[in-house]
Amino acid sequence: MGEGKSNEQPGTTAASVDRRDFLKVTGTVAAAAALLPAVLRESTASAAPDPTEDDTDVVFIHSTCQMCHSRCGIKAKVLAGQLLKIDGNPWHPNNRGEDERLTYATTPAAARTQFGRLCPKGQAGVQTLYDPLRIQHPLKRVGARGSGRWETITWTQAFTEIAARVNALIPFSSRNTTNIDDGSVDLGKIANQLILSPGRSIEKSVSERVFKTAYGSVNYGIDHTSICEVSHHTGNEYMTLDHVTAAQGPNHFKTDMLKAEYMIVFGGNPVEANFPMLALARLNADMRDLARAGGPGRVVIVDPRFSNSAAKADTWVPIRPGGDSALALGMARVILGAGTYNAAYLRLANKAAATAATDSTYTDATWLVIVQPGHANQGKFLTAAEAGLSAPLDAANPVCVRDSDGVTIEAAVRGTSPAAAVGRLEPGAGSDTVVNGIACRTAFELYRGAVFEHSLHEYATLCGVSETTITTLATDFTSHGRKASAWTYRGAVQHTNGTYTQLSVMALNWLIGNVDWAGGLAKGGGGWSEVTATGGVDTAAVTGAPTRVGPRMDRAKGSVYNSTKSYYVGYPTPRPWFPFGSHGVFQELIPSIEDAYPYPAKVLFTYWNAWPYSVPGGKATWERTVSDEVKLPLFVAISPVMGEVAAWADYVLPDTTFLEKWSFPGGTPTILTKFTPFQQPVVGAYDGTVIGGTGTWSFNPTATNAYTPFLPDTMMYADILINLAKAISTSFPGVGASAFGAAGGLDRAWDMFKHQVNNAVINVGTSIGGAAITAADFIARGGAFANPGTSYDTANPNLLNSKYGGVLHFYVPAFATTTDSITGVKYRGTANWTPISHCNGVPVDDPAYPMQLVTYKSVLHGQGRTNVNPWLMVMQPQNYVDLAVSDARTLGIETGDRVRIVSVSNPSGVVGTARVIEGQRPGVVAVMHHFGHWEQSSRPHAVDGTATSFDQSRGSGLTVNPVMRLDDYLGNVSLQDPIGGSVSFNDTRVRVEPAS
Amino acid sequence: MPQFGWNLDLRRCVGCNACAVACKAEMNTPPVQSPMTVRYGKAVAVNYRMVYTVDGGAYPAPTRTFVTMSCNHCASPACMPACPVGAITKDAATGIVRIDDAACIGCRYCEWTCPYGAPQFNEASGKVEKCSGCAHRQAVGLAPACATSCPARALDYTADFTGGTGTPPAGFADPSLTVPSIRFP
Repeated sequence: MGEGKSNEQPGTTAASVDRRDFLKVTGTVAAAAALLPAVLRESTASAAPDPTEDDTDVVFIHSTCQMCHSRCGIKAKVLAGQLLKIDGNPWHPNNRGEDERLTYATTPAAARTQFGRLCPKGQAGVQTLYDPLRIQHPLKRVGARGSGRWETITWTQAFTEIAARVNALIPFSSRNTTNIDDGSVDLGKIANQLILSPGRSIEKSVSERVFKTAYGSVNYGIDHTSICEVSHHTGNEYMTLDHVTAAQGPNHFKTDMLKAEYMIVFGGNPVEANFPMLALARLNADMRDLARAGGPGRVVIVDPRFSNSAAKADTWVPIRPGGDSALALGMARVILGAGTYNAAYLRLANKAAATAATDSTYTDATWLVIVQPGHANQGKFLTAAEAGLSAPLDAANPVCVRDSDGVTIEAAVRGTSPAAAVGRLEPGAGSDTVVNGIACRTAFELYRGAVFEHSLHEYATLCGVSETTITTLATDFTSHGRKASAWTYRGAVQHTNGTYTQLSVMALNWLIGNVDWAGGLAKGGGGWSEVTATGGVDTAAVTGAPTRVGPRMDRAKGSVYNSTKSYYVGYPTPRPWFPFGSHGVFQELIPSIEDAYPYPAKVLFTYWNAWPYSVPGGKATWERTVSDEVKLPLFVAISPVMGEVAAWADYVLPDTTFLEKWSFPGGTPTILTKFTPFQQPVVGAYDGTVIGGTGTWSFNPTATNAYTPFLPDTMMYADILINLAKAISTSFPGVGASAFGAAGGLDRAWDMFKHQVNNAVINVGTSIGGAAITAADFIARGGAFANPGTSYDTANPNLLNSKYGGVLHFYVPAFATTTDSITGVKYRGTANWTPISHCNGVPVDDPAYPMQLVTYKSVLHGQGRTNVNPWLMVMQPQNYVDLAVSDARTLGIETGDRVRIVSVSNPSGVVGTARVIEGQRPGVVAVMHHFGHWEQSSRPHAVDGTATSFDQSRGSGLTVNPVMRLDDYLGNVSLQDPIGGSVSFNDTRVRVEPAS
Repeated sequence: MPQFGWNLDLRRCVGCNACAVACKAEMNTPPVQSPMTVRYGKAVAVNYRMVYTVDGGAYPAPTRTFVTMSCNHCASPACMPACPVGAITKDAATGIVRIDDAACIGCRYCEWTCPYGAPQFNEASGKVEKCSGCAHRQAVGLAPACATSCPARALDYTADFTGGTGTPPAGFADPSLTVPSIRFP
């Protein structure tokens, strides 16, 4: 199987370079060598290796990686101000297991010779920093948009001109008093016509301070989550919604893999692409070591592809793409039929009952839901008042039928101190329970009803997994007590039925009651806040902040559509509204600007954004829209490289890499212990002094710390935002002198991050090992990390130390009582099977296109940005069109053949190289993401009349986003989940044909 | 005589290539700069450690094994007698097999004789290079860079290798040929 060799030489890409291009490519090497530190010149065997860790001239700086979203700890090895190498942070729980990571008390001196583990992307980060094709000065467009012609300008000119153009379009002084449309005042004020779209942002504390709080735009951050896995988040948030406080619980749960006996992953790739890959790969190996030793530790991967994770699992379930919900519902049907769910747990109707049962969470399984047709509150939980309870703790209390007698209606949750309530799961025994004349069913009955809408045979057909396999999975899942769990990621939820898929999979967990249990499902250890602290500085507070009103451009995240609004036009609306799109709807940004709905845009700022490259079907809509200066009068891209977004901007402001900025990156629930990681520059200069310039260098937290990046005419994102705000107005709230009141001003990034470091240090207090930590401790270690061995509850080691402890819903009243803005039909409150559909509810049916397209990610590449890293490109220089052996045989295609992929939405299609493999479900076409760039230094631009250096190999391979299915009703956007707002990456029907 | 060697649990290996990139990061092997240097239509790449993916089986029961491999610093290295200029030596203090870059004439005989594909020809320098066992790190008490990077803790090293190879993966050369210093569980 030669084609499976990972260590491919890059001949496929370079071979296509003709002689003329070859000369061009090699001609750029001189520029490369000029940027590269002398110590990093390519070695031969005789070259002296890097100085070792005992060299006293070497300085180590601990920070956080951003080559992907795992945010692992890094240890930067710096000599004379030059980054030599990146290793893992030995204190960080991503980078080392509980048995080998350092205690916080371990000194930085002792840690010099300690290495955390680090993936190939992280190690290649040095090449992101020293990429010779980075943008080195601010650029202003001199040709038409997208023409690739630029002039170099100064930062002063950039800020001055951009501010003047922003203010001409949206006068600063009236930004929050002038209506966008006097005829439709609910659209809000003109501040909303300024949009920030950060693809990835871990600097929200700065960007939201500037654009959300101080400027007052509702469009302060239309970010990428909907092209990642947002329906997974949305499902979790509403299944953990506390209906008393309206607080949402964790949006991300993961298996406690230290003690798990069984883990089934729907559409996730833990040892490759899910995050944090470092920890997941280590823990996956630990689980399977146990299994080999005859113990538990079974891993099941549900994926149409035989991913590396599937290769390292006990069971691979090659599912039909989009069928994950059917598989989970099929498993539920088996479990409910066999009665193998944890009924004792499900009967716990409130926290008091959970506590009495030495449990942590409880569910809504026994709560009554009004199903009376025509009742004003149909679809909501029956309240104590509606039930006619006398002297209830709280009139709005949901109620259940007391299990012990099957008759008494009692209040479940709300109120100051409700008694333990243990309810009956199915009081109606197939009929409605009528309370005070109101017909009701329990949440569990409604869930069971939805599960039983289809037979096991139907579910098997829908998901393409046999009834026998579904039954085996269900039996195994319920054979490990609390130490089994199921979770999803991108592959399962980036479908039009994504939120329902999340509900279907998570309900399996509720059935066995595994949340907060050792070996079950964990919300993660969490971290200490940096935003504010008692005795610290509230870094979110802004004096003189205006009020924000109106819907967002993507009509998500709290945007309200109902008949009380001036923009209400009934159903259908011109474009969909996303009342549950709690993380925004990234793919709606450009189509909405094109349609000027709900209002016209005026200014767009982007940061870390690759919209036309990364959004399915986005390229054509992007080019139509951003080339139109009426629809988008001003467009500023903040980007370190000339990517697919920056190429169309009016101004490109070159920010720094992740190795040259501060942030508080946060963590993931795979880590059970508490930690607050820190990101800080590892090269550059503070107040003119080079970082790591000498072996005795150390960071001084009390200095001004004005930061100069490695490329001195680039600028840290936070500094760009601060300067931009000050240029827009000398009275811009929240920045400048006394921005933090008595605690000082905000004129440069450190002015804010110094307070956040102090806040984190205050909040940590003495909770790590009993001794107070200092800012110096925090900075030297790259954050604060609870010591190893703090994963479990010391009082009850069967439970996790960090608990969710709240309600888990089978039923989401908010969904069931909300009308879809296109179909005019209400959503459903429980898990259910819903076919893949256009936004108007019409199922996707492209009979002339017999195959289904899916995409996936590699461990060697991160999103769309690692084509600049030679070490990664040489390991994996291009992608392929992966075809199952049986399909390839039918199509007459062999490995290496050029093939074309076409769809209804893109009949001319895209072309790539076929790779025929056994490890793929027949009928599926799979293409790795990361490749097929048409910009990002893969072609020359003209700056100041001179062609820029480029590297054609950065455009190797193909991207299939341009063939993905557009929504028939909307036309200019991909298929999407109407509830969570997920873009659909995996629902496009295609045809594959030889490309001559 | 002390013998440096590898302990490698391929059951834990996830094929991520962290070891291969760690080697490049430590040794600065090509391609370091960007754009990559091209010779004869190919990017010049020298990898002392490589990860191979071995696919097998048939749908719906495919198999995939990852194998990471570098120089095994054999007790009886085949490369050493194959070198016509005596550029390859075995260090008495560590058992590490080394190529003297100054002596190497780039004839590539070592490359042909090694059953593990360890010697790598550098198209730019015209010489053969390979894993040094991170001798410079071992000299100050540090583990080789590949071993410290491995996310799944599949790869480790020992400065005092004894015993046999255990159960090598399919396709691994007969250990009796060169007596490689690598052990599989």
